[in-house]
Amino acid sequence: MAGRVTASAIAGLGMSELGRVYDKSATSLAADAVRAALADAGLTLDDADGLLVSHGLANDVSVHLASVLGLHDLAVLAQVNAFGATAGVMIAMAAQAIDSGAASVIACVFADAPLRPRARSGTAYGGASRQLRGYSGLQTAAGVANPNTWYALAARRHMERYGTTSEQLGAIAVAQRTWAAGNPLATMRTPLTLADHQASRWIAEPLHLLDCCLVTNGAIAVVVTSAGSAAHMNRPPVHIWGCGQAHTLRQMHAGSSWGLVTGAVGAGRQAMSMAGISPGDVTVCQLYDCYTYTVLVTLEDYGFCAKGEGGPFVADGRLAPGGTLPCNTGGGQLSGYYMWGMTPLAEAVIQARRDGGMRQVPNPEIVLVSGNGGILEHHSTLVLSPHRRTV
Amino acid sequence: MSENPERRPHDEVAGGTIPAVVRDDASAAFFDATARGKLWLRCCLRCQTILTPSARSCTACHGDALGDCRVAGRATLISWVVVYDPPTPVLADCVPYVVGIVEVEGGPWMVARIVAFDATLHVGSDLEVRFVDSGSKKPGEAVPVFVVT
Repeated sequence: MAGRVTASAIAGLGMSELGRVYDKSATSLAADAVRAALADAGLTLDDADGLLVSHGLANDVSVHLASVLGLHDLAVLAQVNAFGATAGVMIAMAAQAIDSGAASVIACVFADAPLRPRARSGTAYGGASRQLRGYSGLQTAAGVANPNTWYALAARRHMERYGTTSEQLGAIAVAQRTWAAGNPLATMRTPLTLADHQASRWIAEPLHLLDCCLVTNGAIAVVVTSAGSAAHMNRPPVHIWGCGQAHTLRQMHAGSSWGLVTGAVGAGRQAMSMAGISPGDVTVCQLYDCYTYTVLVTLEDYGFCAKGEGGPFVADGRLAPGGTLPCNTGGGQLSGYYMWGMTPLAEAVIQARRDGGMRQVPNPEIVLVSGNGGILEHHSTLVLSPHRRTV
Repeated sequence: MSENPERRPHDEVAGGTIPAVVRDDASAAFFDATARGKLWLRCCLRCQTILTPSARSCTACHGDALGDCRVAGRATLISWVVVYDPPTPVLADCVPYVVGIVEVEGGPWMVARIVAFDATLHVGSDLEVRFVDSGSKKPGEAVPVFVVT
């Protein structure tokens, strides 16, 4: 069922410093990003009447950000959490609030600072060492205790069912690294071969190190307003054609399709239906890529290829520069930077505005953006375009 | 439910150490059973669906009246991984290890260590539960692991 078409647009994009940034809290980084996004739109804090805040692992950014920014009179203020799907969920909430007249300029921000000086990034998502207690302790003791292990279990299931190979997953990593070379903000820009991918150490077999995303400190914000207002602001508007979300909590029981099918099916159908498009209309994809496998299963679930054919679909360079379906054109979370759902969203805005420089795709007319949170439990989809939708 | 065919408590099973797990109120009955070499799951009192030990409501009918349910401990393999990078510091001494999702006879999925196998694992491999003491320096509860049959 298609939702009501929105008449909102993204008018501003702002980023804090990204990477191994240790001298600022997540809240300070978030404040930097909100100020930058408003400035990008040609606005000031006085113009904002809404703020949606998304925290990451460090969990130290909240609605308190409003007072840090001196925003004492807001029409919309909330902390939103659907994990990696949050960016898309925030955009949908903001668009609805704008459409309803509840607010006129809403900043949506994600910030996190899980990296610590002299600590390996791999330790950031592992949790504290503590006494293992009860059923959750039993699961940790068994050895499934972080996203790496869960996603490896999901990838294995897909590989066993459909014949997906590690080399096919590697093709995604190689394509994105090629894109990253054109992104000055990308963390990893040295070219990568399939052999490099195959030779990288196992994290949790079947996932190699180069199947896994980076970890990044920083913040990214976008400003949502009405398409009419956005038309008179600083930068070309990026119009929101469609939004969708689906929350498919992990069913641990016989018959579960976990690892094979994700919430991208429902969220994608909803967003593309609202936008009046089908996968064949999409000119560039920005897909949540916590792992290479996530990109592959999302492409299948959105209907770019049949279920189970994601491996051959990605193996021919289709997603790389010069390919027929440019995907994660800033290097994504694998090679660019890991700002949860803001990584694909920010790159979508950059491409739709034709700000991509060396990595700009020639035809960013319809940009599909995904968010994926938890262990394939939360999914959001956005359809964005530089063009105002004619209904 | 039938008796567990392997009633020896605390089977000695090769396949790496398991960090100490201690009980809490919610898991006390489960660990009382594992200490006796038995696998207790939960069962929906309304529709009899067999559920994971930690279930709070029924995945089939959403009922919240659950009871204990002993199962034989046969299972099939749904997925598995070989973990090399310790997900958390308490697992640092355990790598590499094999952990899987197993479908216990009757339906529920559990995450458990897969130990003592020679054959190549594949989806649908037949498995059977064993129990090992968790913890090395300081002892913990007996925990279920699965072997290929």
